[in-house]
Amino acid sequence: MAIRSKIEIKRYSIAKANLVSLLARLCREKKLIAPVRNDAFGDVEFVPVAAAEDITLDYENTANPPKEFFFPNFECMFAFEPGNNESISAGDDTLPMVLVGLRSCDVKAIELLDRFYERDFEDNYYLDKRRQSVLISVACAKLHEQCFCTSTGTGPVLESGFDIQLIEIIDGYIAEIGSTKGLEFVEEYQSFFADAAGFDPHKFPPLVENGGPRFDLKNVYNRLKAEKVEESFWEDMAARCQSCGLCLFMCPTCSCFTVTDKALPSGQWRRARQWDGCYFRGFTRMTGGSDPLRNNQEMMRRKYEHKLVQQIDEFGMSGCTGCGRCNLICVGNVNWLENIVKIDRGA
Amino acid sequence: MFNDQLYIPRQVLIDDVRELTYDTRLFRLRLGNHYKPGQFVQVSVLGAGEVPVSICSSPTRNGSLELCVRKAGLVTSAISALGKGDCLGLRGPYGNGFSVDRFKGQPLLFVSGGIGLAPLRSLIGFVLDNRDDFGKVTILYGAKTKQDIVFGDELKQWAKARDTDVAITIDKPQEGWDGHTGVVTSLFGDLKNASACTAFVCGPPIMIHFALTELLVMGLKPNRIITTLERHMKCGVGKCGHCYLKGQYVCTHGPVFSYEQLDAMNVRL
Repeated sequence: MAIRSKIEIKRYSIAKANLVSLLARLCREKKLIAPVRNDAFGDVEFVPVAAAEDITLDYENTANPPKEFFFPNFECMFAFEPGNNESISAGDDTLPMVLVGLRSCDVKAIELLDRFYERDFEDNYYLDKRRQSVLISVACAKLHEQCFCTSTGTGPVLESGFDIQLIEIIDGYIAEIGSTKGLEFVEEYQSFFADAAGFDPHKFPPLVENGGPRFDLKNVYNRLKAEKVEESFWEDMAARCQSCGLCLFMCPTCSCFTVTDKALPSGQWRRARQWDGCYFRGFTRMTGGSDPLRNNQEMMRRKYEHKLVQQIDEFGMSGCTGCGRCNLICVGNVNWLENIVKIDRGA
Repeated sequence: MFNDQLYIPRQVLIDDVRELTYDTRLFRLRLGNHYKPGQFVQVSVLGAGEVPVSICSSPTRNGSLELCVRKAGLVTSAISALGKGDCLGLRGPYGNGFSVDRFKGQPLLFVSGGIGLAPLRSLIGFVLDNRDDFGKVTILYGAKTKQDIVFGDELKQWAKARDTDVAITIDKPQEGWDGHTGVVTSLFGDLKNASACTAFVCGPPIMIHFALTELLVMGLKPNRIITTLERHMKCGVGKCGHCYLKGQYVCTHGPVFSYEQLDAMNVRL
């Protein structure tokens, strides 16, 4: 099955009560991933759901991005026995998944990852999971304090990238179908949906703004590409960054990994890939200690240039989708958004 | 591709192992010649891990593939412990390799230091096997000491090839060495008509830096100075991010770049 076979948008509606019973049924029939409030910490997390009543749709965004369901932090690439060259066997099986409640920024992040993992060499560890998954997003009715998707062009309501996009109206949602996978899903669960072909998309409730776009992406792109940003700006950032990597792990588009051979506690061996990040100082170091990265300023700049120049050049979309998670998680007050705003204003 | 699946190495029998120096060995694998000079492979020992290694043989020779491995870390030590009849895991070939057609008819200058001769050896072999297609060949090689010289016999053989000069230097005078001493760039003074050459440079970073700088001063055109970059690729296929460099992935866009390309990318070597 193709990952995304985009179709012209078709509209259905789904009443709130129907959505609740649909989620209950999905919980029984599929591997369902949805937002659940963690009572101990108050966070809403995107997790496999055991009971449908655990799901909340009252949240700004999930604390974790959904990338881990397609690109897990510890993924078996293959199993083997050391010294036995005939022993290589396949990795873990892939189960079909339905993800409900993603925000638009995360849908766009997955679209970027899809294209990244498809290009040049197809990475089937990622793509197999995507082929067997359905993305049902919930568009944001208001722009939240921390996010800036209107600056990166990745929300709050999407025109493509989702299988199904739910847009809240009084008493329920309009379900926009954007792909053949979405269409198949509605056919499978058609009793929950009602036809809304006549719905006028201009009748969506007006968006509650959080002050409009925070920066001009084109200007940021141009200034970074021309290396106009002052060296002192990167030096200041390098002085504050603690190289903890949390911003990268929380980023819905960060996809760097390292590969190691590991013995599991059971004694079995795996070649596994694990998340890695360009803000770890050893990321580019080579055996013998030489490191092509000369200083931490260069390390800081690489991330901005990669997401806001290279990925725009390669994929025609921003490598930052404006979710704002990195700003919340940073322990060194290296605020990605504030820094982009500074670059925009001539730092 | 040698491997059927992207990340699963193909197990290949080691045909022969040759000591090149006290810490460097040459592994010959029986594997077709479906690769280009300048490409690399990801080499695995199950349980130790995987590292990128440049192919150091020419596809014009014997249908075999040779890898020059210096014992430096965990994986290269595990590789070095293997002998004839053992297996190595292989993925690839990856990378762009040298665009040999672009240099036809031109005088070629090879500048290398230490084990940096390995990737250039793939091209030197290719050029000498297609001798009529290329102009004069000059090979300059520098090693730290005489014990560090790799492919010493072959350097002598290459010197016997038609219209081919070879010069070797070691960093400092040493007992039993009556050849040239000094870093490899100290051999540049004897070059004639250098500015007309296409130069291929590979070696330790510091050597590359000085060689590139001097070649530019000598009048070589930036698009005629070619180097091959070393990075710690974990995947070789543009996914893991470790070799990302100014908008390019060294593993898929490189590892071979011209000085002109690196300059446009604002990469300083």
